[in-house]
Amino acid sequence: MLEEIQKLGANLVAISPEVSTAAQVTAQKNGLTFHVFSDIGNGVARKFGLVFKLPPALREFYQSLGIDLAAQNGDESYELPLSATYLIGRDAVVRNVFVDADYVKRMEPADILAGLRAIR
Amino acid sequence: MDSLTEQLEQMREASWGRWPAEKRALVEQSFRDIAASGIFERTVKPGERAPEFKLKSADGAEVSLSGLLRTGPVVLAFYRGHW
Repeated sequence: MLEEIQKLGANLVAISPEVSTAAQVTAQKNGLTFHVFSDIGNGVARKFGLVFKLPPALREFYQSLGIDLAAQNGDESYELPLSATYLIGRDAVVRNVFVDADYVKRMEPADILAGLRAIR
Repeated sequence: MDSLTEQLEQMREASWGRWPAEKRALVEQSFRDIAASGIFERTVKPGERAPEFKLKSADGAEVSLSGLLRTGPVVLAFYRGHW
């Protein structure tokens, strides 16, 4: 997938609000070569209009699972970005967008590649 | 091979399957609440200009959207984290 994106001349950039150590773990674990960025405080996600606050009942639930979001994200905002994928042309114009309230969902790789072929 | 969506749904079942039903319902309700909040009307849309940004990578390198776009199109993926 990454190879196909790069063959099409595109750059893959992944962004999460986790502090760098966590992002680094993600990158190394999967042997990935693309850029993984820590968007601490969700500044970039905010520019794209993607930030929401995790409700208190869910904070407590995740805490009970041993997930310490304040430590992972370096603040106590409990803000998160929606799951989103943007395909951006060289002119900086957004061509394709996937956004979902469900954090599990992602843009299908086939749709990413089709979108990139259309941009070229 | 399964689509990414199918693989992710299998991962969801592996994880959510261990949760009590009411916690699963809580998470599903939160998705509906997000949708009802109007957030989707405020997100950057196709045809709009992507906002410029700068970020440091895990290895300390600084990258900007405009810098990346000089070499080709960009696939920008936002995710909540590894959890």
